[in-house]
Amino acid sequence: MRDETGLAAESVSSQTRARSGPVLASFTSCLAFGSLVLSGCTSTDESVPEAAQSAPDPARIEPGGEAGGFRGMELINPIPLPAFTLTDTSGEPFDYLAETAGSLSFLFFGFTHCPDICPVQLANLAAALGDLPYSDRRQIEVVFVSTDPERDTPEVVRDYLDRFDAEFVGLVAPIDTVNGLLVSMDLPPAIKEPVPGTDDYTVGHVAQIMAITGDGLIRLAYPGGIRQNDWRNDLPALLRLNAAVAGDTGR
Amino acid sequence: MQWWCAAQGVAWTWSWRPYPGVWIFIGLLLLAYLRFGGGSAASSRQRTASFAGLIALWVALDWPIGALGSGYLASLHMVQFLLIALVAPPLLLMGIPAERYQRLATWRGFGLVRVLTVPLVALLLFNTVVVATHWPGLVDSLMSSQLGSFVLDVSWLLAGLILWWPVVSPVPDRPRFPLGVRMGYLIVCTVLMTLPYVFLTFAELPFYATYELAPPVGVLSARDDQRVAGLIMRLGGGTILWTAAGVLFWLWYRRENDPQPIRVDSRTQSR
Repeated sequence: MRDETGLAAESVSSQTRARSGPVLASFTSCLAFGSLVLSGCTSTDESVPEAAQSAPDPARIEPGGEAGGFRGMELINPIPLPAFTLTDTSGEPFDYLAETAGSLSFLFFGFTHCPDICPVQLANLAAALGDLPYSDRRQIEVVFVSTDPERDTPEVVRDYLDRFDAEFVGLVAPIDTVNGLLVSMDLPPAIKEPVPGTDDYTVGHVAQIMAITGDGLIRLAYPGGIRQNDWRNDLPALLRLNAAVAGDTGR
Repeated sequence: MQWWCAAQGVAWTWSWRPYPGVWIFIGLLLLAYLRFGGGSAASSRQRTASFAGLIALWVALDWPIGALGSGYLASLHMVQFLLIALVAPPLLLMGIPAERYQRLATWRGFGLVRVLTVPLVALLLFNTVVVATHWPGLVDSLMSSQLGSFVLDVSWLLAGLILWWPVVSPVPDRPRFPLGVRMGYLIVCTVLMTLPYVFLTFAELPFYATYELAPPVGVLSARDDQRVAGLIMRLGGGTILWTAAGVLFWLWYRRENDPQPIRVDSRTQSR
């Protein structure tokens, strides 16, 4: 019940944010970034080690909204994505920065048994991407990193992602590797939590999708509660931003 | 524990959950029927109709349809709407004997009922409620709380009772609302309900945050779920209203071809 309560609070607040328009408008007034990024599937503040709860300084984030052009949470000072290489669902190494260089990419940490946030986030992003013209769609990479390597074999991840979009890239790695990556990004590690009264477990993890431009900088974050309409608003602007970045960097 | 079904944002499970508010609500309606609605004075056919109406309400409000419709699937939300607004009200009204209607007509507050059930008023009121209670902002606001969800369900029931009253009630104060006009009344209602159907079925994006952001149940995407909801409104609502219009046509046909006035006719037309 503890888990459900925490999740319910997240979901309701997410819906309220989404309904009220720009996500970060209410985010800045009532939530700290740390608590927001922790709001994954059943994760709670108490369940995450204090050290891991360190998160980007809220001052580095500014509201998106209509004025800023984005409905996602825009980082005032974009954060460089650490270089990392994990294994994709075909067993090949996937060097994130190299594979996505020049492209707009979205990075999401989740697990295939997630009953709520993960499928909603992936479904809404996939639906919005499906509305884009092919010329725009092919400029975007979506990468899913499993936070549950015990159950998420490459085959399981592939089957799961194919339900949303066969173009989505799935990455798997030992949990220590994944958590090391999360911590290096100032994000809390994934936490395995037993489901009371069963032999089952769930995984608390960050709920946001990170938007990364082709220069390897994390520009925006999209927490749970982002709707297809928000994506439809932001995707063209993100593509323009990425094109501008590519022009600046020559990538 | 929840007393009424509302969107909770938790993952759906097929484990049964109790909703005591629903039981109390249905129980109170049953008591009211037995005490004031003519339970013992009613014929077995009328009692059957009333009990069927109560069962339709119960199915719509309780687990699993109530829970799924209030927080997970727009398509089942629409099934709830049909059961609460279009199926249960005529059955409940048919279960009340004419003598009880006449007694009700002597009640001081009946003047308001008389105004609300003027066919044109009832038609406009019902369709206004239908449009308002399918408006995304209102739905998302109401469905996130048990009280809001209760208000939505009760508004459907009241609107349905008002819509069906001129068609079903044997109160003899509508001499200028004969069977043929009643058929037209129901058919016009199907036309007016086209508006929300069009929006739901042909919208490019999901309307309701409640269902778009709900933990997924089944294989339908949020968009497909919304389209199915629109189709249910159109096909299900149309079927119910056209079936009722067909029954009215059959009654009218029998009256025209039968020298002996049939029972329903005598109640609805002769006074």
